[in-house]
Amino acid sequence: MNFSFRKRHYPELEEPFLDGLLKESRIEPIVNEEKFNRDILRLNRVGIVKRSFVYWSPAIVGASVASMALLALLQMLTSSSNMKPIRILNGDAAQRIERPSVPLPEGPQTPLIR
Amino acid sequence: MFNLSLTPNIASRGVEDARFLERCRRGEEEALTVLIDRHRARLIRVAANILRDANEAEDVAQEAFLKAFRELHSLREDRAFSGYIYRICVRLCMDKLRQKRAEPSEFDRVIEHEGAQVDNKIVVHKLLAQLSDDLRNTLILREMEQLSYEEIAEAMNVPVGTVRSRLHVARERFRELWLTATKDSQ
Repeated sequence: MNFSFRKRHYPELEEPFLDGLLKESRIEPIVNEEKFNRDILRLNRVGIVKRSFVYWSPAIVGASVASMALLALLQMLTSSSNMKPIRILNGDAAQRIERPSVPLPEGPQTPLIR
Repeated sequence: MFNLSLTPNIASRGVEDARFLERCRRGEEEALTVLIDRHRARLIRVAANILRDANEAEDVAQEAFLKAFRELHSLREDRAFSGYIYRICVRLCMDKLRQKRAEPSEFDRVIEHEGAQVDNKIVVHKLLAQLSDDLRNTLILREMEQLSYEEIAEAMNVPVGTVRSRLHVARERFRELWLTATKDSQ
């Protein structure tokens, strides 16, 4: 098809000619059908996983924070019931502090009266 | 002159689509594949003709399928899946066109490389590019894709009357542009 058609003017043929021209100008892309389908199905699966993760992630985070808080609370409760004095030193050094080897002078039995 | 009722072909296609959609909702991948097979060729062709870029058309068609499958819950009438997916595709194409308006199209590049080898196809697409988005898409869907008025109305989310008037204006404009272009070339 070339422009020579337009050099001689046929108005009655114009409309079908233009319609045919449009039809002929249609692009017919060549597609690898299998790859196209495979890509869509793969992307669809990825999308489903992503969406479910986005949907459930606040619940998962909330549940983990709550469980950690619960554990901490339980540990605090159990440790407070049989609380032991804190010992920084151990062994001989601890004994020395509790029972000094050098006897301390005994103080007055009766309180001093000023 | 115009058939305003749904043709049996479209109606039966819609019923079959609805059956496959039901299976898709149950998570059957086979049904998804069938739906893709049923609409792939036309969807890619629509995108290619609107975008005037065959490579980009494939991406847009894929995106349209994914969007349609993702938002299946928002589809009120399963029989209207065909129109629904065309609508998504046309919208995506229009978004793409807006984004790349400044960039040269595939046909512009062809002209740059091949110099004076101007084909009618390229002239037609250059003329179509001068029409507004709505007019061009209506003309492409009707004349290149041979969609019915109802299908175009569904795809573009407008009443059938609007499709008819747009098509009339689009044909007129295209004719004028063609006459001007051919007059200049003589």
